[in-house]
Amino acid sequence: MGAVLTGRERNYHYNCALGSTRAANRQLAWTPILGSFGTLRRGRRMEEPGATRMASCRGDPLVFSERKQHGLSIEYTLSSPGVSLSSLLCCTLAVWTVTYPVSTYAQAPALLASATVIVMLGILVYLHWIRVQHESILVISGTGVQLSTCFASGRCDTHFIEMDVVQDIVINEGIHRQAVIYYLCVLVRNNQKNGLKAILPVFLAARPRLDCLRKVYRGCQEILHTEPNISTCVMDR
Amino acid sequence: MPHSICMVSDFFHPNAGGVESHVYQLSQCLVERGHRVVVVTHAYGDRAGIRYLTNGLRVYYLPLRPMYNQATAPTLFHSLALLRCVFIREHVTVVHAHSAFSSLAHDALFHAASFGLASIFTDHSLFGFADVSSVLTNALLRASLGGATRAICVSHTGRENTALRAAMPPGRISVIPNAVDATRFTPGPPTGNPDSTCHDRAHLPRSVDRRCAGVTVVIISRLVYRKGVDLLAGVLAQLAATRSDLNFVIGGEGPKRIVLEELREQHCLHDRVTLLGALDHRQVRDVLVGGDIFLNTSLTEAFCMAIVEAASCGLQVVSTHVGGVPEVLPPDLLTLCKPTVRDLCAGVIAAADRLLAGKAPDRATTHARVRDFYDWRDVASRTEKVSNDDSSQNDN
Repeated sequence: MGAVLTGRERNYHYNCALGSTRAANRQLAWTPILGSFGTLRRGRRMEEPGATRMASCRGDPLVFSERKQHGLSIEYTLSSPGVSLSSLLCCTLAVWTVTYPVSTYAQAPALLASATVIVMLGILVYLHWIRVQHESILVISGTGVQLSTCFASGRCDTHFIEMDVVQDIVINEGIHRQAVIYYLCVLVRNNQKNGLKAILPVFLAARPRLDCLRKVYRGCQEILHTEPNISTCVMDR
Repeated sequence: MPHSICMVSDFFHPNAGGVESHVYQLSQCLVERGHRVVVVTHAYGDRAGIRYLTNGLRVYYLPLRPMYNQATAPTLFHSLALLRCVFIREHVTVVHAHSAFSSLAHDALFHAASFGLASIFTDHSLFGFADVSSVLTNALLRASLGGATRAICVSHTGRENTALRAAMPPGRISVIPNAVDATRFTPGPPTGNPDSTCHDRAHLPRSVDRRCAGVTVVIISRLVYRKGVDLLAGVLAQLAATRSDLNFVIGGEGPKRIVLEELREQHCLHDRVTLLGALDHRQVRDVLVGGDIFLNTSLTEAFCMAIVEAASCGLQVVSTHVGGVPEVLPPDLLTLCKPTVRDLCAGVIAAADRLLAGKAPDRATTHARVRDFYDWRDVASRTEKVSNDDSSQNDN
């Protein structure tokens, strides 16, 4: 149970039931990256009602928002402040100021060109695979749990776990690098054998503090333990 | 006043041994007395992170790599961040480190001093002063005990030893002996133990189950140099040659097992010397009650739990006169011999003769006496007193 979380564990082996969502995400993935900087700056979610400021266990600011629907589903999202254009510019400038004199001195313009290309590729990789913008958990009564991670480029990873394999959602303690942290995780039951198949940690990049996890835990438990009532759902619509 | 105590040692469950069981039992009894106790140790294989044991005893298995003999590297700083984290989130008031072999314990003592926490060190073993490893460990101990406010030793001999090695004022060292759970070591037939299943007994050799005409000598220890296995080999050879009515059962595993196997081959003693190999905790009692005399040949021993367990099972105990052994049992329950082959042989023969003449004390009476000698709850209450003294910074 008490797992040591090393790196970013993304070994979710579940068929994505929401296949269409995934395909849509893949199309969205290559939306013009530079265009998204302006919007990503200072988390968009702040304007949404119900969003509150929280802190991660490292003390970084986070924006926490909750969306409830008819007591049938609940979604919690944690967003970190967007990538600032100035920090990217500073990074590029720093590489330039080092490489320019070196390439002039060595009379090797290819050095400057390759440095520029490497920096650009590096920024692409950082925005597309490393920098996480939003993380969310969506629990739908009687249907399942969806975990999604959106990166700064707009690419989203979505994983859906069916309700009949979800054993529980719990808060656990673990050792991450040089600190003892709390984390929320989804326990996935093994239907063939008794016991657990996997422990899927949620909010791995944001790593919120216990007060935030408690709120998410209570909300998720409420939904997990309500029987889905289709008739109310239809009538509400 | 209840304390929040953090036990730190490299040695803990799932391994088994003297220090491991000491830490576990002491923690359980302190929890029972209303203190908050956590245990910090290093990760054993994939057992990393935070686990809970009986009574909500929380154990932190820190992901540090053991370097030698299950001890982590004595680098002082690679455990700092994690220990600090544990001290803060558990509101630790007293750090209790165990065993001089454990580098994590030394690190914890040093960090506790720098965080201004009260700290206690329990020394479980005796050391020499001459060989390289002792000199190095003693230097390390002197440095780390400089910060510790109190030390606990398991016997008066151990106290003297620690005071000399660590240059610590003897007034700051308390003596609290180990304890043995006497309810688990009762005399009686092996079948009397509800814990032991048929499978366990099938594992035991014929000579243990059969109460044969001769006298059975039991030896249970790790087969390492410190436990005097070479001495034991000499004793076995001589006794087997002079007395044909003695059988030997040896339990335990270790690098020196080869010495005993060689001896058995050389003197053709396969029918009289049985090597059981590593024993489970539950099997120890069944092996003990199958014997009549318990032989301990340790060359150094701070507090010998094995002889208390044997005496609790009603066996006659023959032991070398080393370290804290004479303090452990009263002289009429214990035959002490000089650590020489001749003296030990004489001791075993005297005990066997007493037994054959029917002059040996009754097993049940011996058990009843030993039962009241040691108790973990008593150890916990005495440790608590040391902690109270310690946290009020009331040094002698």
